[in-house]
Amino acid sequence: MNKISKFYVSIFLVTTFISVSCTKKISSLKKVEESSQKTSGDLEKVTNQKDSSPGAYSSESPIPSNSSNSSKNSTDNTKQKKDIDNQVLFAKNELLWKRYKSLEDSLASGLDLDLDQICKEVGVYSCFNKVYLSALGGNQPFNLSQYNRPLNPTIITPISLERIILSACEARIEKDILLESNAKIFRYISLDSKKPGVEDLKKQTVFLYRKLLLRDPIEEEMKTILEFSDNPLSGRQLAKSLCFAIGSSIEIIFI
Amino acid sequence: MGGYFLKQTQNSLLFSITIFWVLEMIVGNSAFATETARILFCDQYSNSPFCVEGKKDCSVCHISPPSLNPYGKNIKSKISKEEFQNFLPDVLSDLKEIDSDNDGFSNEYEITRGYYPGNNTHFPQELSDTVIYDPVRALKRIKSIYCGKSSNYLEVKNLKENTNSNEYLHNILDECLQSSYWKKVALPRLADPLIKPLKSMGAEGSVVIADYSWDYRLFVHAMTDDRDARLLLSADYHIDEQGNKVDGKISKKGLPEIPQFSNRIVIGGGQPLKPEKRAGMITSQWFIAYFTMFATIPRATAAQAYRSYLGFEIGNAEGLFSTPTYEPQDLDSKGVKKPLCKSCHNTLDPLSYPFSAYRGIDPISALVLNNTGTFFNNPAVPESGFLLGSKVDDLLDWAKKARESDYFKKNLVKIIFKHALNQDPEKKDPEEFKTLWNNLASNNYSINQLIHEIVDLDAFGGN
Repeated sequence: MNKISKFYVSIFLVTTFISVSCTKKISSLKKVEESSQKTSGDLEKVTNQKDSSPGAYSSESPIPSNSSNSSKNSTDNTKQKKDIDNQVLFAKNELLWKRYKSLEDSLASGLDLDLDQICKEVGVYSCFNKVYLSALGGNQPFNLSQYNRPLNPTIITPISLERIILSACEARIEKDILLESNAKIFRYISLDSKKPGVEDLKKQTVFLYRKLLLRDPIEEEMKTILEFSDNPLSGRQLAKSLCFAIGSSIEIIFI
Repeated sequence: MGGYFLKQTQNSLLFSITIFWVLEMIVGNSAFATETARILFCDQYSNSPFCVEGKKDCSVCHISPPSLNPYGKNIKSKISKEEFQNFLPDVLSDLKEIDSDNDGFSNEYEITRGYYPGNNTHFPQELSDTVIYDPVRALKRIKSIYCGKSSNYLEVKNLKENTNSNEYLHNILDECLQSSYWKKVALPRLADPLIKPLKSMGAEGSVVIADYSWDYRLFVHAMTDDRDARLLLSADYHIDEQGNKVDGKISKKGLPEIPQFSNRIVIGGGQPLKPEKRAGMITSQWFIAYFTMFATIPRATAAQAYRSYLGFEIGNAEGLFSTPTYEPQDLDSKGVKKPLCKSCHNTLDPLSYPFSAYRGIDPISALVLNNTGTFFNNPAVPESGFLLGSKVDDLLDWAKKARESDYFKKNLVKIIFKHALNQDPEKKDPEEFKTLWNNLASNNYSINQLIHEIVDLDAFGGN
């Protein structure tokens, strides 16, 4: 095709384009006119609170009517006003996720374990620094190009935590079995025989709370533990359950 | 003959269709709806945390652009694309008292406080009537964040019995800020998004373009021991593995390595740039080698510096300032003068010119001379450019203007605050954020002092 033919084809297509665009503009102008009538009608509806149906806007995303429950509205307004009057910044109400390094130290110091005794997958890979690093709030920038740590706990964070805490408890129990009367953590209950008496259990509970949660248990917590101990459990099973329950408390995971 | 005619017809049709779509894009004007929407939105909500100068938050209306959240859908249901500019202000006003995401708070209430009106998981929490600073909470957080450790029962008991708990806390904090955890574990992780290391291309990799461990050491040096954090963009020296200051050029260790004689390629190392042309982190060999690579106009390098040290993400149309009307000049013929491209490139291109005086990777000369990242008089690109709406003569001027700006201070405070409390202070604690970055200069840009101030906030220890 020669240059003249190319020119005419181009002109044809440009003309087609212009006519299509003009058609679009005309139809959109019509829509503008229609919607401006609709908008003014809706404004009137909102102002007068006459129409409670969500059809005032779009059915695509219905908006709950603000006019149908005037008492709820006044309660909501009051609540918002109270919030404004007692303005306390949001950050103050948030808990902070304790990430892998300090969590590792919490368990190590709480259960008197070396860092490499807490948890290792297949006996080789560190749970904290390698296997569950990201799930526990860390990042690996060099090999995995993770340049930011996760903002919030991920979907596998809970199960990773449980895995690690259980592993730490087991490791401590094994060590204390070997140490027998010189047990470092489970010193008030016998790990290889039947469950302890009430007073020994109370002492053990207080000891574990102080080691792991840095405080004494409240009355409710002690009562719950004593009730739990009514189950037919050996000393070892009771120790593991206590350790896991206290060790996976929200206080050890969030600060 | 028929085949030749057919081919020529196809070529001309393709040419014409291309013109058709280009014209449609120009006239359709769809590229400008986003910026227009932001301007109109912020006219109405000028005090909203979403309308901070230079920033943009698409999540106000979008789930992930272009898909809309309930608030965005409410807007779209009222007006078409063509009506946008004329009717958006009215629609925004209509929607003020509506709760688009059904979370119990009106759109206006959420927007003015920095909560997304189209996200029902993002809303003001139940607020306490009073907040009391809890030293025990602060202690646990200090030890966790800055020492990488847990506290213990005795320590908590001592704190409760201490009449001057504030002094006790700050003493603990001082110890933590000297710890190897803070300097060797926590702080380097703050540098990861700024440096973006890649092991395969670092000093231990198989294709070594530079050694990023120099960058990490300089970062930690600038951010510790009450030093002026502006060293991040001003230091003309480096720090060696023993923590000593090293002046002058630093040569690469070892001989050049090529595949024929070695199992890897080594074309970088040390710090070959002369000190008088250095501007801290943005002129390290790794920074230039990794972000510039082979580019004539190092746009990625400039964007990374802009993002890391001033907090502007140009990819989100943030930090767009006015530049001369002849920009972008498109000096490397990448087609950035097109309308779709121009809105960002009229800022990005002049932002990048000063970086083009620092050599990217030329494999042969890098192998022989280790000259990646060195300064040279680039005949193709001017050394001067534009930053934050005003002219800069060269990269040193760029760095000076950047580190003296309020954006640099705000960005530094954000990095440290977010690391401590896992949230954006500009949206959640705007008053406290303002105090922190305003105080930075009077504290001589000391990060240690900044952390001490953060620890005293109710946001840190409040209960």
